[in-house]
Order: sequence, then C-alpha cells, then structure tokens
Amino acid sequence: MTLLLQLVANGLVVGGLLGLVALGLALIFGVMRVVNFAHGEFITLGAFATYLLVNNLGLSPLLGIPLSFVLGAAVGAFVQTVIIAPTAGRPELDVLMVTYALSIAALGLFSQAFGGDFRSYSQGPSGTLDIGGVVVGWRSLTVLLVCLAFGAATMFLMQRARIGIALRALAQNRDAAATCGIDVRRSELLAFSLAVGLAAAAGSLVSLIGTVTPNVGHEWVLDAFVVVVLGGMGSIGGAIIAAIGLGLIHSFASFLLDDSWAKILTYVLIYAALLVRPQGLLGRADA
Amino acid sequence: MRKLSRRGMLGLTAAAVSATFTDGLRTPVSAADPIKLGASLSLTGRFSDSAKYCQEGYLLWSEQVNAKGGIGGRQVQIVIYDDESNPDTGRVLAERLIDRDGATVILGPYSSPITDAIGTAVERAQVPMIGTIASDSSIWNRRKLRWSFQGFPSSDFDHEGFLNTVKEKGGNAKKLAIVYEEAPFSIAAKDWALAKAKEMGLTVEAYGYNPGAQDFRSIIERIVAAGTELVSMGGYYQPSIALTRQMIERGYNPVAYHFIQAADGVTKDALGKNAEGIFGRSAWEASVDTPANKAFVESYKAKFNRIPSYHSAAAFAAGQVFEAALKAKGTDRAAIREFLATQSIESVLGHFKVNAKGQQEGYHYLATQWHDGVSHVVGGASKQPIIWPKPKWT
Repeated sequence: MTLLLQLVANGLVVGGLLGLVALGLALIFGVMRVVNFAHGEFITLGAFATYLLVNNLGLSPLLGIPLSFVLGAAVGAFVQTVIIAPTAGRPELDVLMVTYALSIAALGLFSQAFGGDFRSYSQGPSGTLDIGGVVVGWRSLTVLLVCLAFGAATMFLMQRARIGIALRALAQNRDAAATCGIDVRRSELLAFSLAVGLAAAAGSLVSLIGTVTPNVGHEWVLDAFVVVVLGGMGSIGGAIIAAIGLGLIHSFASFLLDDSWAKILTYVLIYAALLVRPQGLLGRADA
Repeated sequence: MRKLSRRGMLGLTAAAVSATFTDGLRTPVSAADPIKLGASLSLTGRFSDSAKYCQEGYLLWSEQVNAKGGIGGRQVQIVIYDDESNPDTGRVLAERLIDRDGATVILGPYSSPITDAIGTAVERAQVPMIGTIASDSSIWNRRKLRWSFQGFPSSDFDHEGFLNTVKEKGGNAKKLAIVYEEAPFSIAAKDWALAKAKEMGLTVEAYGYNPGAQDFRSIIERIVAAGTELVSMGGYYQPSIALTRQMIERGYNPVAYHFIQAADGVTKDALGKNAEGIFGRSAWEASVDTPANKAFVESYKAKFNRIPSYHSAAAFAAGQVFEAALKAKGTDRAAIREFLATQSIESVLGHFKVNAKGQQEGYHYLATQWHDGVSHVVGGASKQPIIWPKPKWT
C-alpha cells in the first residue's frame, strides 16, 4: 500500500508540472486558436530568470516563482502585441509558423546568452516529509502545491471572474462574443500574458527540481502538447485531468516496466483514448 | 608534327585546369614553412563553454613547442575553425583544413558526436586524428577507423574506479544498481560494469532510461524496492543531477553513490552539501603528482591565471602525442598513423596507447570523491582517505 501511495505521490508531482505547462497551451489554443510552438521557450525564460535570481542576487528560488510569473506575463504581453496580434486574420498555418520562428529565435538567444552548459543551484527547500512511509521531498511538495495554487487560481478566474467568462465566450464563439461587446484584442492579450506567465512559473519550478539549459522548455512542452490533445483541444479542465492522468500512468508504467516500454505503453493508451473520444476527455465534438 | 586529336586536346586541357586548381588550393610546402595542425572546435553553440578550454590547451602546447625551436626546426601552427557545436559543420571544416589549409594532422574537436563526424573526413583523406575529447568508445566499435585514435579515456571503463572502491571498502554492501542511458557509450560501460560486478560477487541490476529523461522517480522506487545499497549512474550530467536530486527528495540514502560526471565543479553548485561523499571519475586532475603534470599546471596557471580543466589537459596531451609522432616520423602521414597505432607515448594524461581498434587503453579514469566541497582523487596511488559510507543527505 505504501508503495502504491508513493507511486501516486510521484505521479502527482510530474502531472502537476505538466498540467501547469499544458494549462497555458490550452488557454492560448482555446481563446486564440493558436498552437504556440514557442511555449517551451517561455518555460526556459522562467527557469533562467530563477537561476539568475538565485545565483547572481542570492535570493530564494521561491521568490523566483512569482517573479517569473510576472516577467513571463510581461514578455507575453509584449509578444502578443508586437508579434502575434499583427497576424490576426491570417491563415492558421501562418500563425503557427510565426510561433515556430519565435521558438527558434528564442532558443538561439538563450544559447548565445548562456551557452550550452547546464546550470543549477542548491538553495531552496530541503529535507523530506514522511507521511506513513510515503516520502516526499520539500522541493517536490513545493512544486505540487504551487501547481495546485496556480491551477485553482486559473480555474477560478475562468469560472467566476468577468474576464474569465469573456475568455470562455471567445473560446466558444468568437464572432458572437465580439458582437456581444467583448473586447477581443484585450481578451487575447490577457489570455496570452496569463499563459506565458504560467509557463514561466512552471520553468521556475523546473529549475527547482532539475537543471537549467536552453533546451529545458522543449523537454516539457512536447508532453504538454499531448496533454492538451488528450484533454480536449482548448479545454482547461481537460488539460488538468489529462496531465495528472499522464503523470500517474507514467509513474506506474515505468515502475512496472522499463523506461522505454513505459513510454510506449503511455502513448498506446493515449491513442486508444483518442480512438474512443476523438475530441479528447472534455473537448467538444465540434471543436 | 603530329596533330592532337580532339580527345587528346580535352585531356591536356583537363590536366592543365586540374593543376591550376590544385596549385591554387594547396601551396607547395617548403622546409621553412610551419607544420600545420588543424582543429575544428565548438567556439560557439552548446559546447562552447567547454571547448574554449580545449583551445587553450592546444595554444599553450604550440607556444611551448615553438618556444623550444619547433619540431625538426619547423614551427608548428594550429589552424582553428568554429564548428558551432555542429557535427556536420565539423566534418566540412575538417575537409577544408585538410584540402585547403594543408593540415598534416587533425587535433580532435570537442565532444564525441563531432569526433565521429570528422572521423569520416579523415578516413577519406587518410589524415591522422586524435579524438581529444571523445570518451565514447563505440565510435571505434561501429566501424573500422584506421586514421582516428581515441585520446580520451574510454567510456567503457566509466564505472571501473567506483567498482574498485567497492572492492576495497564495500564490506557487506552487495547489491548494486547501474543506471544507464540508452545510448551506445552508456550501454557499453554498463555491459563492462555488469560483468565486472558479477565477477566481484555483487548482485547487480541495470536500469535503463531514454535520452533526455528527467523523471527518475520510478527507477528510484525499483532500486529502493530491491534493497539496493550501491548506485552507479552512467549517464550525462543533466540526468545525473536529476537522479541525485530525486534520490534526495525520496530520502533514499545508498551506502555509496557514484555518477560519472560528479567530478565536475558544477556538482557543488547543484547539490551543495549533499555532494559530500559522492564518487565520480575524472580523466585528469591537477593534483596528480607527476613532474610533467606539475609543469603543465604551472605553465597553464602562469598564462591563464587559473587551474586548468581536464579539457585543457586533454588538448595539451593530444599536442604532446602528435609532437612525439612528428619528431619521430616527420610529416609523413602514413608513418605518423603507424606510430600512433603502435607506440606508447607519454603525455599529461598518462601513457597514450591504443588497441587494434584505435580505442584508448593506456590510461583509464581516476576515481574521485567529494570531500568538504572539493573533488579529490581517491584510490590507487592517492593518499586521500575514502569517505564510506556516504553521509546521509541533508
């Protein structure tokens, strides 16, 4: 039983982080119908920002989480205004290529600025929490709690706040929403900023439990794309459920099998799920 | 006078054009010209941080040789191009170094993938190369390479130092886990370690992971469930740190822990006090007490005002090996190749000696361990005491 709970705890940590990344992707796709290939680079942004904060300014990495969120949101607002918004009305493939180009350019910038070597820090929460034989490190617990907090806040915003309702209206029917007086440009700006802020916060958390390189975002974003598809394109709730599900499946599968087979099994299960529900877990059939 | 046929005319024209182009590309060499050694180095891109240390080693070696009057009365000149950390670019640059610059030999690039790519170019042109920073021995297993020689200790022996320490200090610890990446160099090292561990009477289990993996929690659970006491990780630095951190987070304290990249100074930044007692392996350490090594460290410090890294030492060693070959055989490439393939040559890394495949056998890795924030050589001739068991994670 302890082993079972340990595997659940392990799966939740990975799933939580994946969910935070996927949340932003789902938000951008749901509201703007944009597949953001540059999302991984925003994770990298948060990871490097936190690393610099800890290494150069001697601050706590925990401070890096909100600061990365704010920095990410600001960069997101800039990118949306200067790069994404001018492509409004262009074919989806054009916008996709713009985000792809942005990803390549950002990766180049990170490589130029920081080189290819790994960076890491040891400051921050340390020690473990033992609950009835289930051991979770404080770093992992921090990751899980922060992901829960960001996830809950985003869900609250989407369900209860006026702007969240506007974003959901945009996701359901863009033209009808605009006709009802919703400011589309402002709403898109907010959605993109929020999504990039979440990605940067996720990057900050990644730096807490891993290492920082210019490629660090790429390693997470591919799985996050899978989560978004599995959850239902653009569905925020679906993305969260799919991320946690993927984290748990991977945790159990890689315990029972080796890493390669676990990955194969995970993707076979995803394929099977999409055969049964092509629209994803919580996606609409017409999405 | 016999008239030239059209075919004869074409032949003569082709010969003239060919001679003109060849002359244009390669200037005739005179005895006063420097001996050119070519190098493609990753001066930009993801390997640039480490490759610059390589460049320093090459330049220091050439300066010292030239200060002593060169080789056979000729100065040496190292022609270096930037391969941008890209294997394909490295291969193209090696062809340029050979065809256009007339490099007699090629000093190896940074990293195994680029060495592998350049290996193709030097085989085709039949120019000797020393793989300065190529630990991946599988390069020499996958195909027959006659002109490339491994200058770096072979990755096959990645776990050797740790297993020797286990033999000496292990006591009752009999269960070993080898964690390895599904990549040729790591698999070869794992295979060597499995055989060696079984020979030592250890119960050993190997755990593979996919390249790029960052989540080792399930592997750790399997290691814990098996009651494993000794862990040796044979992957790259990034997954090694991820594995270590997740072991700490899990509160799993093996009796002894080794990861092959641990000697790198970044380990201290990444793990802080938890680095204490972790074993690693190192191609070279400044503290190794030989006259040649001391002289190298002093001259490097005098020039660059810091202690050299193993990258610089390996580059300097590659220069020393070529120096011996050029002194013995002149600039005859085939004779240099033969010399490198058969001789034992002293360098700051140890005695360069390759096997029939061209893989390094003269020197292996040194075992290291972190003591009070410093990575020390342990075992062998070292007097440094070994911390055993590993202190518990904090």
